[in-house]
Amino acid sequence: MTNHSLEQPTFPLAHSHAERWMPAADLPTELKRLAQDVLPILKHVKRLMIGLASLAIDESSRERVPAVASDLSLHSRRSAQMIDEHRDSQVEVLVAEPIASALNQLGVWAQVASANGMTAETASGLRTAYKSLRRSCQILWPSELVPEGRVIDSGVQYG
Amino acid sequence: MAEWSIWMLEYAHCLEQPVGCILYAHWNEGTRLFPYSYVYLEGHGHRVLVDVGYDKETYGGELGDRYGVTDWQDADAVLAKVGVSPEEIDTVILTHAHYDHIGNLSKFPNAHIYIQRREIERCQWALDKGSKFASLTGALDPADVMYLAELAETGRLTLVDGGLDNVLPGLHLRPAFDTHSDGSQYVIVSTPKANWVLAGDNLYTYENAEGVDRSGEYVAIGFGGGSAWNNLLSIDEMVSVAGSTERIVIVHENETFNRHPSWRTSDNLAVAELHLAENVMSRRPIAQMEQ
Repeated sequence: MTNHSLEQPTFPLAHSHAERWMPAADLPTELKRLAQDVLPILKHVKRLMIGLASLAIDESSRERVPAVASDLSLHSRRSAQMIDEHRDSQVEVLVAEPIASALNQLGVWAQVASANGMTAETASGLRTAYKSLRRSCQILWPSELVPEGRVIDSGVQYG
Repeated sequence: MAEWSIWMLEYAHCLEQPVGCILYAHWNEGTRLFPYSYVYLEGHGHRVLVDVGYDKETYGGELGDRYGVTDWQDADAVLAKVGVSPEEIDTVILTHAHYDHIGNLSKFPNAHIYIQRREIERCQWALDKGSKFASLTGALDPADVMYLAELAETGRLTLVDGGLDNVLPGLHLRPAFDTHSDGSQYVIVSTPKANWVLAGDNLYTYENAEGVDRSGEYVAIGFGGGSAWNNLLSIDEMVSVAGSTERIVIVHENETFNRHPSWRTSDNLAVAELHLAENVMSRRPIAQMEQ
């Protein structure tokens, strides 16, 4: 298996790392702290997202969409607030802001799904917001996944 | 045309896929060229794609990079080789929900989609299990599942429960549950003379069905999230339905391009023309015919 370069580095720190495989030890302390907060959120949001999608796909379970959507909205917005608290350095502004923004976007669409049920437009909005969230979290993955100094495929747990 | 024509279209490949991923328990036996393909069917007034590949611009591209996939081409370029555009595809059958089979759905705006209900339910179940079970979800993109919700809302998605005959005339869906993935299915294409089987990822190579060195002993696929026993039983079923392993279409098998009339284009990707209905012209470029 070959290592590949990042397609579009989204954060200045990424420029020093041509490879997607990245030593956790190279992340600044502020980012490690942020990653510790963000990654469990991302996991939870992902589970709620796919749960919501599964319910919406199947006619027999669509009545459960509003409840799960409401849960997703709540988690997304709370998480965005929590991540906002990290905006206390240049490093974290650059990373935390897009993550919080994507989470807020997700929260809004989830609220729409909660209020009106799932429509094609809402599903599209949720999908776009989720993709934006995943992209904005990319730089943080390694530090949560590996012990200090080890190298690991940065995306391995977030398929 | 009241008969199906069948092409296998390679859209990317991994140059060095470990044999251990292809043949169960065949460790340390080197690597092979491993195509990534989908199957195009034309007949009965329909244009059908079985699986759709992935979109390199999305998370599928990251997964493809991670798995060493190269030479990727988008569906418009690949389908043009058989004279069709993504917009003309009216039916998509998904064998399972892995990114390299489902991830390019948005390129087919006029297609009705079929997938097993169990595949979606089990994707959700696996993702709920968390990162300890990441090996079950490493080839899934939640955004793909979200897109199915979008399709459901527009009436373009049918969830299938087990076997379904004549989803279109002569096209039959059969479950292959708890094999490569939990809700996998395969497709039977009935033509006047024989059945063809589109195996999805329930076979990776002819050797899964023919045995190593044609020993006749089935070998389970190397990369399966489900039961190897069920995989072997599904292989047996597919061999029986097809009547010959030559008519089992294996989208990750490079040998397909040696066993059937095929050509390779300038993008280093191959097309296999597996079956032509009566009076249907070959799509092989004239320049290739002269070679």
